[in-house]
Amino acid sequence: MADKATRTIKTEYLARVEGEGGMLIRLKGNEIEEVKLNIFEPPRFFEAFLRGRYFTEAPDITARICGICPVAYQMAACNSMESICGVKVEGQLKALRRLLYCGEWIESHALHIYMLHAPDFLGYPSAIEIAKDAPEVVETALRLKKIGNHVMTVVGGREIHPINVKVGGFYRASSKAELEAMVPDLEWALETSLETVKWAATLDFPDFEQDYEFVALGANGVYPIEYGDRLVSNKGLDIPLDEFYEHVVEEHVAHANALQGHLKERGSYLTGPMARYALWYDLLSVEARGVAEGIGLPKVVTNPFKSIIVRSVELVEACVEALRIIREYEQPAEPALEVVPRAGTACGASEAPRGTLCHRYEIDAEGIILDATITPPTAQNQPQIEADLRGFVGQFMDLPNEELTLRCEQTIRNYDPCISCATHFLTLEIERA
Amino acid sequence: MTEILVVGTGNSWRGDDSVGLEVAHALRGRLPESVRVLATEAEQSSLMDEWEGCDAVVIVDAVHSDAAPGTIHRVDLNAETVPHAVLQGSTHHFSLGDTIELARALKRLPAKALFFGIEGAAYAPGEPLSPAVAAALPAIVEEIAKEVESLLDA
Repeated sequence: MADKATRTIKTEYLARVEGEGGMLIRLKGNEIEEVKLNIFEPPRFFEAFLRGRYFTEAPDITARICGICPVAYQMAACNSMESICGVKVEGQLKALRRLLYCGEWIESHALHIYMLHAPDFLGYPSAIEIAKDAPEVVETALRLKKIGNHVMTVVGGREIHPINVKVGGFYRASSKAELEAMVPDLEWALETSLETVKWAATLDFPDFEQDYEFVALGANGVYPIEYGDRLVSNKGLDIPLDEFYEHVVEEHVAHANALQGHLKERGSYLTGPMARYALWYDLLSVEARGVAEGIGLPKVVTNPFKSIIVRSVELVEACVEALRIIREYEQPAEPALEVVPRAGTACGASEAPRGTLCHRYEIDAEGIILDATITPPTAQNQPQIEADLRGFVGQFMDLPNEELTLRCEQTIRNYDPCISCATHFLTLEIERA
Repeated sequence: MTEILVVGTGNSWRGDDSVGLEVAHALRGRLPESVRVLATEAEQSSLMDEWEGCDAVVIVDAVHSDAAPGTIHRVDLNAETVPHAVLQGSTHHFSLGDTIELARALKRLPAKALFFGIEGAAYAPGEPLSPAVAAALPAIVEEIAKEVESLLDA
């Protein structure tokens, strides 16, 4: 290859991600000229749909943004509306929300670990091909996913776009017996998750470390899932959630139908399992910390390919939490608190399986939504994904095109991107000159 | 006795994408009670559990190719695969096509497995079936009912 030859690494339509996007990397000799995560899924205009709707409609409307993480949207919307109206959902209702969310973490993490990410490590194009050689791996994934979905059905009324969530709580609170019936399955899921961590640790990882700014919610002494009232990073950011948009700026770039999130005057950052784990390791359960320690996983993981291990540790955490909540559950007398609208603006957020999701609403005294802003995790992670691609290609550009392309796709899938959420956006391309 | 599951699937809010659901609703009154008929918009990989232990499964969904609206594409799943172009995958979930191929790989397809793809014309949000597909519906239901009855007799 001539010194200044152009080389293009390109995937037009990325597989094993949620939604539609691609990748283009252009090299001239050893110089990286261009790195683009193209997001061509059409924009979905949810923020505009919300204007003029009643405040209690936000959880159900925004749940429709995603079939994998609807609960993340419902919780962020509820948290925002409740903050505006001065209502705080606590006790068993808050626990029931966390249980519903654990169901979503279990189904989403199991899907990504085994069906979307594992094929990259095992050298298969898809989970279907894995199933032909190692059916037990796929059967395990399907059963885990089913257990997560079942939690969502029992607590939320159905597995996709649950219908039982409302501002203030639930339409109907589950009975203790309904929850206890899930214990044997969740106990199997916990054992399987522990094995998943050990299995994930045996995979081959490229030697690639990044200096990340990890950003996640702070949730008053518990591992952040369904709620958080601060935004915290490992590099000194620690702000009340309502200041989210004073620190996070969203920018439109020509190659993406999703806004890209940056921290003002700081740049790209990472949100998701690796950030939560790095920031809140000490808040994980004894079981999750124990298995991490057992495989020698450090308290801060900076190799993005190892996100599959961290995601597996969170799978353990979700099972432990679900079982704890069921054990301590007492059916509340009322399924929801009364929420009376009042004029105001507030941010509400939750930790979607793939990272922090922030909503901000402004409503009037009658409860009509005047303005809505939704910032999904994948939108925030886009600049960091491009930075990872740039770093990875810089370090591994001697790899043949085919292998480099696969590794770049994997670099993107490390983030479990949900493009459909981000557009409210994947194809990969490496060009060498 | 032959245990048969009929599954109609689709999206009830997207025009002709609801045709599988409509066929299932119509077959409920038409087929003997011993045949389980399921109209479902649930996550598709869960269908494998639905047909677990069945001798036969009949799956009905809308498809999009270049055929005339209302055309029935019949595929014997134990003999051939559903062409990808006919049954396009969802990018958001395990699609029906993925589920069928996964079930094949896991050896979880019943001994008899038929897919009926109904060619749609329009999929706009909030719209009912298109006139062409609505007009073809009774004949589609009749043809699928006859196939199910022949499975019962087998």
